[in-house]
Amino acid sequence: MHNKLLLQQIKKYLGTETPPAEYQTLFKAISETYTNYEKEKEKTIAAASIALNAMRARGQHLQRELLSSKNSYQQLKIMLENVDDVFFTVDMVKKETINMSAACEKIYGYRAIDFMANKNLWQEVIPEEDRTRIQKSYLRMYKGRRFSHEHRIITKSGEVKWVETKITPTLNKDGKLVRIDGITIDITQYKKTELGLMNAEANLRNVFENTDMAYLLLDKQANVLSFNHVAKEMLLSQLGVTINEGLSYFDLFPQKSHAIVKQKLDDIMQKKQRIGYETKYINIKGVENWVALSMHPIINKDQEFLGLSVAAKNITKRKQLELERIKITNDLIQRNKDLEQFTYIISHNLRSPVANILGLSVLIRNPKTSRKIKSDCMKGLEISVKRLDTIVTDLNHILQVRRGISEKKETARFSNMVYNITDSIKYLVEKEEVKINTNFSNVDEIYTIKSYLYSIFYNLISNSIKYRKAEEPPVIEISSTKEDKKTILVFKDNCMGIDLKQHKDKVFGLYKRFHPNIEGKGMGLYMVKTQVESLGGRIDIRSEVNKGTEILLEFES
Amino acid sequence: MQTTTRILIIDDDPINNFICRQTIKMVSPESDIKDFTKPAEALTYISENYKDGTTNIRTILLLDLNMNMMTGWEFLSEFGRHHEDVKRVFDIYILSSSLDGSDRAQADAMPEVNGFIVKPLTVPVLEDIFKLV
Repeated sequence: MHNKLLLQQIKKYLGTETPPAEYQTLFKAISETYTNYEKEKEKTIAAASIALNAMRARGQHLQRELLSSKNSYQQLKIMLENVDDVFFTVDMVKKETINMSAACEKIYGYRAIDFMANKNLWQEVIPEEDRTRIQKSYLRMYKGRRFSHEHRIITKSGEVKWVETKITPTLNKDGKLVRIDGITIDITQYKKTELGLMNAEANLRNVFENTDMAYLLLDKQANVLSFNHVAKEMLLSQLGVTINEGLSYFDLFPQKSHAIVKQKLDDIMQKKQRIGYETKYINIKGVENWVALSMHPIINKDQEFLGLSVAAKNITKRKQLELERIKITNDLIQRNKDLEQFTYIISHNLRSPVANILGLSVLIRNPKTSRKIKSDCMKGLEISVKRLDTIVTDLNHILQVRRGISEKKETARFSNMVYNITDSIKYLVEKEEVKINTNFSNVDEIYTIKSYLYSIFYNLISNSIKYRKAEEPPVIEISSTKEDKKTILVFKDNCMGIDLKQHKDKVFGLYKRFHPNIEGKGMGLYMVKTQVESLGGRIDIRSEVNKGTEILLEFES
Repeated sequence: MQTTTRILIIDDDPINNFICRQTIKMVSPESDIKDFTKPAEALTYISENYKDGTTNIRTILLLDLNMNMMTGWEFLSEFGRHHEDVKRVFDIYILSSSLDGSDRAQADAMPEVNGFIVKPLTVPVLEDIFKLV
């Protein structure tokens, strides 16, 4: 290693004049080459410096290749000619490209000769905007500082490629830039991938953020990897939870929900399939909400579970409408059934007296009928016609109630109502020793059609008196409560009661009676039900024979 | 007309029973007519007066469907528990004011029911019934 220049090079690249062991063989080879090929000394130095550069840039494998050769220079040359990367040297004084490896044709489309012939070609292949951008790096160059930068080039055929260039400048003892050695690597593919990824990420982020769905990404330990702003807001406003990357999915929910959360996670990890479900919960403001959750597993091509994504949407409004619709539909179905039953009964009950009238008139017109019998027929005729009239009147009455929503609504007081009714049947109340206890302390009024409510109260009270137990004076308890947004009235008595096991579905039926010994048409409870329902309420009954009856009325207040 | 014909009318409407009685008297004055406004009492009467195989009186049963205490179908169910020898003696007709097709269809589907008559009971219909006894 006699050559001063070489020593200088070594010092420059490795920081010491004594190269470390792994480079010894290489330098031996290079110095041999140097001694043997004097006129190629420039090239040799270039080769050596490039080799050293490459070693630093690219690692061990190049070293091994270089060291394993017998004829190092040849090997070097071959190697240098065969890599895809372009090695070049430019004399910065004469502004001449001294060296350009053959690989340049692969990358640039131009041959080494073209670069040597046109001093500025290496600049010209760089597009305008990139040239401006990389100006800064050139400043370093003039200061003798190594650098690398990425820029585009336009090949001979007009193709745009991305390259990375690493440059090692050499200054003379006056600090002037005399030469640069460089290596250019084609990074088009890498750049495409990088840009593609950036694009994909931007697109994904766009979707992620510009949506009304909350998204969470969890790793396979169910820790939060990322989330969008909708998720952040939803968790804060609904559960009072501040979400952060790294938190466990469990930390987002209250303790009592952990069992279900765990069950869903286990489910998805086991089945490796999307699961979707709806659930309701009470939010921090105490309001019931519904949420639809969709959890997707993320699986690699080896069927390994990598993590999962959770998409959530608040569906409270939709759910409420759905539940309301179901309720309305059920109501309609029930009303329809009632109506069918009603028309059946009416038509049946109308025909009965009509049939009698027909039969009686046949008998009357028959000359063989005796006078006595004819007289009985007339009586029967009168009864039947009256029955017919009653049914038609009842029909009218029922239809009026059914249609009655156009009637005026006002505030009615329960206590007043009971007082008025008991006052109007004072004689009966005294005679039968009826006891009426009321408790309207929770709620004493309701906004409704007064006449209907009066009729309801009247029917229920008079029923309790009518169907009293023989041995016991009737005791009637009427009470009111408010629950959710509903007003509930309970009528309780100690009277005969009805066998609901036998008659449950007939008890509110039209013209249905259960106590034949007692006067009545079988309309009381039917009317009560019709009136309650036309006020938008519900009626229910509990009863035990010989113990008593309890009737429950529920109204929207 | 056989003299040993009995007619049982089971209907809680006394006017209907009156009409039936008068109409039957026009067609068959000698027949023994019994009407029941309480179906339970009719069942008792049958149990007491029709012992297995010892009664030979052909009996026409006119049964209403819509009775408060017990429907015609319920009555038939109870009646059906009697011995075959008892049931053999009866010609059962449903007598109803109902124009409903399903009631008639149900009656047609029951082998123990001989026919379905729409009220009011008339002389021609009765004559047909008596012919079949």
